[in-house]
Amino acid sequence: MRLDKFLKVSRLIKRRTLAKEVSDQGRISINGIQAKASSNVKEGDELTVQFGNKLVVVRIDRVQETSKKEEAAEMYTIIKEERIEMETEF
Amino acid sequence: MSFDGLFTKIMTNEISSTLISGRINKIYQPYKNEIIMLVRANGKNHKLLLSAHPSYARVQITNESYDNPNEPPMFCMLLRKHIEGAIIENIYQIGLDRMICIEVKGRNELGDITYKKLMVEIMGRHSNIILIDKEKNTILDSIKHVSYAVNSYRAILPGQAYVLPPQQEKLNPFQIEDSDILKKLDFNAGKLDKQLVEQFAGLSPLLAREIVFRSGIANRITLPKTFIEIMKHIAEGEIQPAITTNHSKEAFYYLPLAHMKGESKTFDYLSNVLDRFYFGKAERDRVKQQASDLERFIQNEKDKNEKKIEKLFQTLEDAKKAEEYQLFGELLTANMYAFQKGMKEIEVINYYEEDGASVVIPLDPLKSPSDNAQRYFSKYQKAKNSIDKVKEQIRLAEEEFSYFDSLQQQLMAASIRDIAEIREELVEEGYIRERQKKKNKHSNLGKPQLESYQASDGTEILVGKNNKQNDYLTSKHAGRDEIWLHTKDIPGSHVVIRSKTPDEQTIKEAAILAAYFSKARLSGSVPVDYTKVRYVKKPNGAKPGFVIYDNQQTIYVTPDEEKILALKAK
Repeated sequence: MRLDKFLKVSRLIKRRTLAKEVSDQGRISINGIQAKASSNVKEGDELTVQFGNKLVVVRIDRVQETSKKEEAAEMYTIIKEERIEMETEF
Repeated sequence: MSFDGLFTKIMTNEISSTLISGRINKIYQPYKNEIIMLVRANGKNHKLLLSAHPSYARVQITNESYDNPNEPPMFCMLLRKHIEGAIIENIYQIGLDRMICIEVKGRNELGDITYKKLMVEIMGRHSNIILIDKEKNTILDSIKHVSYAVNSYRAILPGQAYVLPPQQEKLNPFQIEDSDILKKLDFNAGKLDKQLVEQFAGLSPLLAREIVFRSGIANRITLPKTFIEIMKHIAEGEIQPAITTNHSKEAFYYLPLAHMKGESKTFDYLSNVLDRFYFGKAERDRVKQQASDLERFIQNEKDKNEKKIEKLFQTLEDAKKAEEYQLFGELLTANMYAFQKGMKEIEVINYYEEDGASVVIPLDPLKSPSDNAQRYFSKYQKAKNSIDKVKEQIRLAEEEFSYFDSLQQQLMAASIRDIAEIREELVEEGYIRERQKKKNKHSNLGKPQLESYQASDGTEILVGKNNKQNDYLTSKHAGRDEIWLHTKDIPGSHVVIRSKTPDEQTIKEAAILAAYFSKARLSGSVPVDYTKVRYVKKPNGAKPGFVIYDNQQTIYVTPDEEKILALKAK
């Protein structure tokens, strides 16, 4: 499945547009290799997503076309989640 | 135009000292041109009001509360998306122009830090509030869109690059000396105030007039001296915000205006002055807009009833002739032998009069003598019967007239919510038909909201501002032994003191409220009746808001806006 599609279905990112934007900015790597929005993801892949204020590493458990709210979280397991310290605190 | 460049400068200082490093927690847009931002700074909440109103454009910290629409307007939602939760980093004025820039630092959906600018341009009709992406210098959106078709210099549209308005080449009044002033001014040309406005930045005609006035005899020595002195005061922050009133004119400024030769009332902060000056102005404007159809309708109904009453009185006058018709009928019956069909009139002796004078009775030549007599009798009957009916109609018309009179008064003091209730009331009374609008979930207004005030001893005073509220207040909400007030014989609000034994001061304050929210708002010494709620009765089938009462006492007060503001519950 396309990376941006997966991010949206798993609700790691709320909107597909946003997911595409993030992917194309090169903030995501699949198994350590920088990904594009159109990169393919499959079960077992390790995603590293760099948000503005945190770094999240997840492993993909399941890939499906649509998901209910409750199922979304079951599609991946969080391996690591760390805050990125900014020079100025909010 | 009191909100000039120098005023903006002082206002910028005022808001930046309180708001910098504050966090924008909430954003609202109560009216079309007003934005309210709730900012938490230094452990305190502040309400920052940005207005791009054509005549009340301003920036200030406000203490007033505003009713927000059920659905936030587009621009409001956009602001929420971009700068809700952002930190105010800087607030500054552009030159000495009426432009304030608020720089904020926020995070976008991804959590990345973004920098935005909120530009408030105050320039009369063309005032605007513009959200700008600081890095790209492009406009994200604005409260008013201005296309190239309107302004060839710059367009204010989303996506356009932001361009400052053209700069005026004027001297900065803070960096000049006596000699500069003398060089720029032509003392022989007259109209010194106009020359000042033209030559120096940030000066309004108001301040220019004040400078000229304060110089006394304005000449080469006095004028520069006063000018520099006032600028020094402003630069050092020695200001005294005030509202100066002279008859009907009212102006606010950061110093009492001597040239207006009126009374001045001083305040601590500029924001206080603006709150006081603009109290309810924007809202009243909007209410007027929304209620213009109601206003017209009510005036029409009033006029209609007025004409109706006039006509009914005419009918009543005519009915008094009933006696005469009876007399004619009887005289004709008695003189039936003396005339035939075809006669136009007959002169007969009126034997009811002592002197037996004769009267001339007009006849219908097409009718027989007995029909002529019958005609007068039936006319007599008709007139006699009509009297009761007409009197009843007059009563109804008068009732309706005073009902609309009271509605008209309520409309003047109404808020937007009150308008909706008045409209609903008219629909219920069957005067107007319900507006065909899309099914709105929020259309049910629920319980009427009463306006609450506080007497100086802390007693709560409630005021109903339309008939729905009045009825609810008097017959449902108030206790039986609480004190009820209403202006005597003048349409006005019902007022209830939430106490069984209020002291004299409280009664007086409540009476002032009753007089203020009545048709006699601008009159002096208004009679206000007060009695216990138990003596107030609503007759069966009476119009909304109509009551009768007894056991009342009367007090005379003069309504005063200052006092009303002081009573407003915190």
